[in-house]
Amino acid sequence: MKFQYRITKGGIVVLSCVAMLGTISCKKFLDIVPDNVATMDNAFTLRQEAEKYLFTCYSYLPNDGSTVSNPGFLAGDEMSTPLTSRYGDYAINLPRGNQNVTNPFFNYWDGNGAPALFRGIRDCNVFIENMKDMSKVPDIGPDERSRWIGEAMFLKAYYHYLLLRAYGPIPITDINIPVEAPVEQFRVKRSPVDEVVNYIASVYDSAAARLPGLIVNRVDELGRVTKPAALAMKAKMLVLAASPCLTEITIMLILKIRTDNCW
Amino acid sequence: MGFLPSIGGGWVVSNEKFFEPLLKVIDNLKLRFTYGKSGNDAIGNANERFFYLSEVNFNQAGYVFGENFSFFRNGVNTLRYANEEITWEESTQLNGGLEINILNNLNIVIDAYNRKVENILLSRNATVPTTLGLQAAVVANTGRTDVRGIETAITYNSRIGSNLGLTSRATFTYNKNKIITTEEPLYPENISYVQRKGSSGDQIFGLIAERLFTDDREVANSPQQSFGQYMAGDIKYRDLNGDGRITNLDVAPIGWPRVPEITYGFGGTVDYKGLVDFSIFFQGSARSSFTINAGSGLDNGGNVVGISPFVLTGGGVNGFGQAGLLDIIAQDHWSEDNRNPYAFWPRLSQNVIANNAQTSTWWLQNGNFLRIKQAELGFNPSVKLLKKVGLDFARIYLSGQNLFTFTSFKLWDIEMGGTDWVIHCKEFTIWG
Repeated sequence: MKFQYRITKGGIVVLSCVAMLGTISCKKFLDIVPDNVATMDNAFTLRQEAEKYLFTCYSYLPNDGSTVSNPGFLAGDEMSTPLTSRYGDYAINLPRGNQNVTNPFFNYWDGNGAPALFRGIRDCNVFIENMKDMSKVPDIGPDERSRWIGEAMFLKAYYHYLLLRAYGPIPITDINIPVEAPVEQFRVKRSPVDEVVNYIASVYDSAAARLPGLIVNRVDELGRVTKPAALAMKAKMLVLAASPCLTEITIMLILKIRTDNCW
Repeated sequence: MGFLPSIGGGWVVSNEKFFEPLLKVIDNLKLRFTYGKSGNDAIGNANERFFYLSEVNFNQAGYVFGENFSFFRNGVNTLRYANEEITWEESTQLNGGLEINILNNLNIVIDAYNRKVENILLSRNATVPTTLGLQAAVVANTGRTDVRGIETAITYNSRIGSNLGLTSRATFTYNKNKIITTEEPLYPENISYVQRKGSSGDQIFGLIAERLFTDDREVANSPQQSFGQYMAGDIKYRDLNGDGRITNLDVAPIGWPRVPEITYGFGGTVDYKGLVDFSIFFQGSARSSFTINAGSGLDNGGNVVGISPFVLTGGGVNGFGQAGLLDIIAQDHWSEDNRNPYAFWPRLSQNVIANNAQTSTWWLQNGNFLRIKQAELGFNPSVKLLKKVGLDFARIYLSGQNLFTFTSFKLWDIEMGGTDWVIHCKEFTIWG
């Protein structure tokens, strides 16, 4: 639409109106998923891809066997190195006094020198949620499906435990919050330690019910979680929870959180 | 789908009857305005065409099991979360203009505009808490920026007598933008200076540098600075929020925005009888700041950026690079013998000292300048004279570019800014 209009003999007023009406009828045409983009749905169409997702859940396990990734080895003052090339090794930085608040080392919360455990928990939840949907991954047997869910449950509980060990009261993430949720819903408050402990214990229990007692296929599966492992980790967590050290810290932290109102 | 209407109008006032008595002075007077909406779908990353869909990568680091660590599977990495609500940016602009022509010589065009840009696609990193466990940044149309500005162009042409001619022009633009809403957490009252909202989108945020530490004892007795190792001779920052630590919460808006709010240029040509002419053009900008890059690195073209001397940087496809030692660093740096707390360069090191390379007032420079962009003196010998030597036309001229710059910054060409290494050479040409 475009029109001109003369008002007076001398003056000209030009009015132009351009309207862009978009594609209303082309919805189906535009709804096609492009070929070379792998979406989340692709991860749960086949057992082979779902297995990769399970291994992703495992991949957040801290590298506790490494001297530089496990603060238990080199974060004390027993040994240090003057080599600047070793700065990248996180444990070395602690005795050098380089721990800081801006980008802390052994940051299980955000992941610096340690796995980002909240990501791990989210991945476990995504996996459990999709595997519980029987219409997804049709080429997997019911026993194996149940076992895989149990493994992801164990990992979810274990990651909560690692966070509890490091931070005391933590937000419990039993179900993932959708990405498009409003900001207020994102801000989950930390739960008191006893709630976290009870939650972790219950998840360990439901994981144990689905897990095998023994790894039969040792060549391919040794290292995967078993029922005794789940129960042992539950016991370890309960011992930690009973420690007076943790409860004192907890009380302090809870008081601080109440005043800071942080999340 | 969107409805993006616009409307515009113009009024030539000088064509009206009541204007006739003024026509002797003002030849042309026109007022115009436009008001309209426009959409911008060129948002986000150009490589991400389908950013409403989720995307995963099946080739991430996975995990190994088995007696001999022989059973390996790749992991899955989420590159993007699905978001069907993504839409385009929408801007609403009101534009008013004035064109005036006085005595056939002076022509003035002024445009003023006020633009509201909404639905700006922003990463929600700052508002999405870590506890959500997201691997990829979530983007959403949540930002809004207001832009207002003026553009002016003036030209003046005249002849004084029959011999002297003058052509001149000047331009002036003023542009200021302001973030109305952006993705950032609500900061408590006492550290509201960290907030981006209300500042220009190009505002520099940095630490307030006080001076250099004189000795390690002072370091030990000052607020802890959390940008890597530091010692005597390194930059001491101000603890704005008073928590005894220098962190990202001590970052405040410093200086002017990076992009000049005012740019201007003016110049003209004078000629005498068509034989001799002289032209000069000035260019300038005001209300901008820049920071010197005190780090060291390579840009995509393999050029060294950052002035940190001695540091061997790079190692990728572009090989290694090393910044040259600037004379001012050699002359004026902190050392054990010369503990000048206000030396230009802090403690020397073979590595980039992260503590000193932070964006701070230490490296902040005023970006204002005015330069003689171009000047030319030309001589056209008369036709009579040329005929004698058998030529039809000749012109001899002396021309210079970037001849002189008025600025407070003397280290290098100010238009290079802090990191951008485009050199404006001084250039002379004599041509006959």
